[in-house]
Amino acid sequence: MMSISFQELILKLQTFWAKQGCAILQPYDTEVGAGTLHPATTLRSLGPKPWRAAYVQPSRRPGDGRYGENPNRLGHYYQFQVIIKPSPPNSQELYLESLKYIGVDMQTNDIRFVEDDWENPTIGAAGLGWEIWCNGAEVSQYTYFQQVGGIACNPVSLELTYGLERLAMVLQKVENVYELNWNGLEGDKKITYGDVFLKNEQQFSAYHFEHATTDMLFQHFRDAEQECLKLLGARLPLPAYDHCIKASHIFNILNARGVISVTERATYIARVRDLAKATCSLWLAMEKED
Amino acid sequence: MSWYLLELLTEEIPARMQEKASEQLGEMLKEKLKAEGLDFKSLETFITPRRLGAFLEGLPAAQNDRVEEKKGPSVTASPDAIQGFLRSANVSLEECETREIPGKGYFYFVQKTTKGQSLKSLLSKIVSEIIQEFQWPKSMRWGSYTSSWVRPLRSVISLLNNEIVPLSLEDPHITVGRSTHGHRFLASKALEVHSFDDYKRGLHEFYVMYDPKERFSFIKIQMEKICAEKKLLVKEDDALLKEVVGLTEWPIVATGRIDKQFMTLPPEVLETTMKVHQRYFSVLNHDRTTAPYFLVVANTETIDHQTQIVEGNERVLRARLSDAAFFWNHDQKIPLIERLASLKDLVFHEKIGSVAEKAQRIKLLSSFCFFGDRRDFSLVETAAELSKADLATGMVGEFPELQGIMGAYYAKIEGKPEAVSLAIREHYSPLGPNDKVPISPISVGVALADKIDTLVSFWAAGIQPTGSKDPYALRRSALGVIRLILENELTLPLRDVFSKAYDFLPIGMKKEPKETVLKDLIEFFKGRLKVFLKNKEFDNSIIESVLPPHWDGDIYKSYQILEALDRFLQTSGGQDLLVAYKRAANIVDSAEILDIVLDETLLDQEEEKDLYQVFLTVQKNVETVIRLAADYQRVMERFSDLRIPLDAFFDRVTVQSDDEKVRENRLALLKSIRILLESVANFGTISLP
Repeated sequence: MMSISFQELILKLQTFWAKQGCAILQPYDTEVGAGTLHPATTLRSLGPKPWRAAYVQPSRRPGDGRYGENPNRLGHYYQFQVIIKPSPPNSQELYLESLKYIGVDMQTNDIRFVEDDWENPTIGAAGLGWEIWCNGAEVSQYTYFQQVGGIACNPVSLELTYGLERLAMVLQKVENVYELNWNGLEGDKKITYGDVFLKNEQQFSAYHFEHATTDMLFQHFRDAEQECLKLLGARLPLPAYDHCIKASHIFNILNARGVISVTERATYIARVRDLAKATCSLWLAMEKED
Repeated sequence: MSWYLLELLTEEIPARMQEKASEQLGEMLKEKLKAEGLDFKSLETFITPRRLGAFLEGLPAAQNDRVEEKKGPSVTASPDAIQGFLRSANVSLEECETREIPGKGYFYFVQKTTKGQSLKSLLSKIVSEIIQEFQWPKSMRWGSYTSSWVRPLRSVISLLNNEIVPLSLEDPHITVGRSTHGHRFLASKALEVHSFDDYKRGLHEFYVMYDPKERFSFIKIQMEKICAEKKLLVKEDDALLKEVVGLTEWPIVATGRIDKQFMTLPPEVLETTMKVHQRYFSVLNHDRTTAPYFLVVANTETIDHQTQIVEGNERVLRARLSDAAFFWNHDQKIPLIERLASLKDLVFHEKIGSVAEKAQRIKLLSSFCFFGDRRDFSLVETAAELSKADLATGMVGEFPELQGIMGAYYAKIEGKPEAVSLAIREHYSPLGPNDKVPISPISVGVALADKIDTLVSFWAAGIQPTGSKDPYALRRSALGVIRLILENELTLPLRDVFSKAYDFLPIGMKKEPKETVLKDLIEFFKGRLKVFLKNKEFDNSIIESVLPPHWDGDIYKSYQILEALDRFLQTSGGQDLLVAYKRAANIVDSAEILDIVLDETLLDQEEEKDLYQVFLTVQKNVETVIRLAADYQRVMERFSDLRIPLDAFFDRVTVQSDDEKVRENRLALLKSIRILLESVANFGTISLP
């Protein structure tokens, strides 16, 4: 049997979670470090209103770039994100069903729930759950949100994050991410992950590690911070949040560029967290006014 | 006799929390049953990744009725007072009896019987409370419920003699009854349970070993069998084994291969990569070198005999080891000395400074802690300077537990002398009471300098361990210093070396003045040394005798005296001398003489002249033995020379002479002997059984 292509994997996960009543959203259109930062997760996980959504989110981690030379590490990759509030009582079974749906045979593979206390200090978020291992490879993160933006989640949301490249590598039994079959075709028509992304990895690594203009980026960080604060004052939490995640991404580039010392790092993270907390509080307050 | 079975089926419980949780459940059950006056014959608790449970046997059918007597007012009390008592006790006057309390008159008494509650209602209460009160290291909420547990609780078996005991729980999705689930993937049906035997047999049929001890030994046996077939050995690791026990309900060991290309990596790198990231066990050849295999403990048995599982794990390991190989090759391109610059950015402690500064201080201090050949001074300084350089390498960034080890490899590759490489590897040792202590002088020098710098800098910054809190393992550092000194028989004056270490610290960080730091730290060492010696089973009062209030901080000397004294006091000569010492001390104490100088001409009786002569000889000999050889065994032998003349003195000489001068002179003689003995150890604190 031909194993699942990269794009088929995305389509199937979308189909599966659509059947579970999730709204299938599109990626957020600004740079983020993880699927969690999409406002459909960060903001919607707050407050009492039920919510179900699933989407692919391209995620940028400037510091993880390896110029396309490491078969496992990428500065840009895809996460498939599911968020369901409140967390359903059979959520583990649903997750395992989704694995079966994309072709993981529970009779021949070893699936494990291994403790992982998830934390995202830049947005003041924390949760408890697991890394999911398939034959020793971490293929998903499974989290019950306990806190977002420093605010306790009530009810609790279930967040599932599938590392799409890793999952596809396990399913296609491929050891180099760039060799993943993207479109499921062979011969001339085959498009690989490398065809799509190798140049991105090479050029963005060079940008993040060597060419990013740091003075300008420091200024951009301050601008984003100021804009976020101003928009909070104008009671516009959604645009304010955009600037909060912009600040976060700029910080990630500066960090990769090696111009932020250890002590400064904590200060910058705290500055972004303050923006995130204020934004989350305002968003929640306005939700309650509705 | 009744039995009760409890199983809390939960989403996967973190492995590290399982053992304690099982113990806690047992403790809570015992405590709460006792509080209700319920006995039982046996209690077993168990845990797997998905279930926490207990089985109680030999419970009574019900709680015994409890009779309680209440004393009321006197029969002569006002009617209001009597009515008040009857109301509060909810009885009529006819139900009361009157009894005399001697000397106080007649009083009302009433006996109230509280009917014992049924076992079922008590267990319902107790178990509901346990679920409420259970303490997990971290717990969570889920869905829209307020209940919390380590991970969502899914269902409960609560059976008393095959009858369901209902519980009060927050989450309506948690069913309480007699049903559970077996293995997540190997068993699909629910399991109905009617007894504990039923439960155990049923779970086994449904691929669950409910007892962690069974999983532990089952894994061990499988690993040993696999290795025996290949004529290899398992690298034993009980901590890892315990973790794996907590990750599996049906543990099946499979063997994977390590690609040949990675076998050139240091064995510690292979082992750490496999263990930390993947929870694999390493396999050794008979000469203890690493064999090209790993053992993975899967949580399932598959129709293809684990073939895909092994292939998958081998792919993951190749990726992990490729990363490790990248670091290994890349790290070697930058000499360790050039790494020092990056250590400036690495914070040792925010109130103390960077690791770069620390490395510099270790270098300065190392020569004061070095007891080897003078020609090797430059070696100890080189080793000290490079001791922390590997913290800036990629490999140690990835695997902090390889600190020291990687530095040693990289130093060797750079062509640094063997002793330098060894010192970089060993300078964190000893890490605990059972860890090996370095013996190479270069290693010892760096190890001492590193630990002493750590201690002095924390004390100078005003940070010390308090109670059970010691987040920087400062007690362990002090124990390390003590063991380094003792096992290498070093005379290291703590005060001097602490003083140097304090001087090397940057001025801005010093919160505490030097004298305070030195005094407090020596006091701290004294405390740690006492704990160390008690663990070696020396008598407490003998330990006290060699660590006086103004202890000089010479650890090795104190230990030598202690050992000699301990041995001496096991002989009858030693014990007799102790008795004689005490007698002399008592006489001197009660006489309250101060500074009377002994006058030889006033010595009168034969026995006191004798004693004085022996005292002079012993004093001279002891001084010589200490100065030339520091041989406290011989000091004790010399001391024992005092015993016979002392005994004769006490037999024949009356200290309380009528002549005041003679009396004082005799007291002065006893005092001199006392001072001589106490110059080595405070015999006064010693009390032997």
